[in-house]
Amino acid sequence: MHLTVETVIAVTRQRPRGSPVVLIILVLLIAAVAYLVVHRHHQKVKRNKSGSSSSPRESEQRATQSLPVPSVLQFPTSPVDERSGIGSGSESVDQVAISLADLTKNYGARKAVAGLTFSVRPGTICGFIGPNGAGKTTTIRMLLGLITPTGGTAKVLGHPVSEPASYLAGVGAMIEGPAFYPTLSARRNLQVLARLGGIRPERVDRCLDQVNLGDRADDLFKSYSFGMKQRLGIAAALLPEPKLLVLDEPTNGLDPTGIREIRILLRSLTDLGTTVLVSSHLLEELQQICDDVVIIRSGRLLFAGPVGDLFLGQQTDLVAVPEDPDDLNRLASLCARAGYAAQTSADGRLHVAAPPAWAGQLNRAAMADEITLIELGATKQSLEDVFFELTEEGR
Amino acid sequence: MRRVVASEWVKLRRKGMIAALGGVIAVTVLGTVIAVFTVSSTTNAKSAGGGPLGGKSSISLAQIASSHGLADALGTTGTLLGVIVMGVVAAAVAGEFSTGTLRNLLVREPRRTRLLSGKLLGLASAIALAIAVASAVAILAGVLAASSRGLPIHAWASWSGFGATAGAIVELLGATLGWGVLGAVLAVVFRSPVVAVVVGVVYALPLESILGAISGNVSRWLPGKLLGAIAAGGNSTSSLAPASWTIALYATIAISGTLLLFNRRDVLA
Repeated sequence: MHLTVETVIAVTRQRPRGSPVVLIILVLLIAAVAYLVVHRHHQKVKRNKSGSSSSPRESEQRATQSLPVPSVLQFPTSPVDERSGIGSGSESVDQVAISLADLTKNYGARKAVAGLTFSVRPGTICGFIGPNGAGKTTTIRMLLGLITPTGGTAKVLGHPVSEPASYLAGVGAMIEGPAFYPTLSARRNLQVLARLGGIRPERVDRCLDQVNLGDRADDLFKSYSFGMKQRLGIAAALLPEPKLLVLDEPTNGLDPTGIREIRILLRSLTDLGTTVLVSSHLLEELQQICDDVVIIRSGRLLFAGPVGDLFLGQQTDLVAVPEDPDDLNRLASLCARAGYAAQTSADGRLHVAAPPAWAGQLNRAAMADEITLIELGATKQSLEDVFFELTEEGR
Repeated sequence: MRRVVASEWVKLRRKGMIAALGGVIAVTVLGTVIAVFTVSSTTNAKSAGGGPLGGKSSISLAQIASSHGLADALGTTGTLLGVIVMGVVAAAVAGEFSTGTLRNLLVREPRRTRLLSGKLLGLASAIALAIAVASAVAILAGVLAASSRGLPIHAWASWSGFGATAGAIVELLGATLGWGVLGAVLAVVFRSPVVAVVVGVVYALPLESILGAISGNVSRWLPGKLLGAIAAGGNSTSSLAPASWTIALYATIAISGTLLLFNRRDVLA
């Protein structure tokens, strides 16, 4: 090897191999910086526009005034509104975790979400219900900044959905089932998200323990059962210690024990101040855990309010069961004499179209007529009954 | 951005990704060794367009014995290595769409420009590392292969030889990253790993060759041919400098367009 000045000069002249590639890298870097500057400017202009343009602002104003809810069951007015913080959007933004005003998403001529307006109060569990294709997932995606709304406005934790970076650090979400890398372990999958979100690494094991996956943390995701995958999805949503948890069908594939565990977990989270928006088809389950419900169909709001209010104005019956089935007809005519229609059913029950308060009077009348009742009470409509009533109407 | 790159590195521990990066190393080593073993005493290296693994044509004895002989051997792997890297990047990016993992990523990092740029930087750093390792192993294998054949390789160990080899590694890296950009574009456009990889391979191999055969002048503007020229340090299609500038322009347009599309499009996966 002979190194001389002449050799170096000769090499430089003969083979300037690396220089254009270095220039390429420089050009790319300059282009990247230019793009970022333009992109930021564009975002700023967009934000300013959305703050001043008339239609979103009008929507906002409508949301902070009193909005008529296009529902079959009207949302209760004042006292309940103040207590619930859900439905009419009459609350200030600080008092609600989520607020939507005329939120709309169109795909061509099809309206996936058609002017949704409701709000969710902080520290509660709000059920989000609707038949398949009702627009639940589209709405959730808009709340998470994955889809751009066609019209209207929405705010999450006080920030507009057009700026997801300003609020998503406080949001945990599982949308349309768990999606992870099949050939990575559960722990590694959560590490991907933890690193990306700047979340403390110790949260990974904490969340895996919370959903009882600690023992299987190093197993590959593809080896998990559907229920375990679902648990991992919930663990991922819990990673950022969220102020708002958005769960799309979280109990899918879980066994009864798993469902119960999730119910307890969600309740414990709301006790700590977390707001939960949960969509599910397990209506009985939702009725047990939810403080409020939002029901939509074909992208339109049918009801938004506390679960209890859903049953206001619903027809309730009295059900009476005599000890001796032969007394059914006598009991029915006794009701008819009092002005209440009664119907017998094949299982030996009498359904009386009377208010629950009339139960005591019926009991006394039956005793006076020497009819012994072994069961007397009011029929309770389930969330499922009301859901079908609402969603079947207008079809 | 650092978080996104760090997160991407966790994903690189997947078996498929390790196998793909292993493939990059294997192709580089194999190509170099084949190039050394197929040295011809008559062939003119710069006259043809396809070597044993898609790079230059087989190398002449005079060339292999020169100070840039090892650089020329490394350059033979260019096109095949590029196509592999394009496939790796296309599968890695499009896989996020098809498996639905993209929505998880966007919930944790909603700044889309940052997410995609960080992801591509993570992949680029892994590819750069793989090429560095591959080059080191290929150089060692090349020296052993040449020695076993009794080829005169003293010039490789000169300063000009070191410079030429280092330049060849930089060019190989530049060309493979260019292929990676093509993979990223296809992934964001098609959002399906299979479609992105198939379209990429069909374009890079038969389609460009057909276009080049129809008109020789067109070759000077085809990305695949230009990347091949960069990997080989210049060839009959184009010399290094114009190829580099044209690819830089293409890459800038492609990256800007891809980021724009990624930012604007709804995430429905």
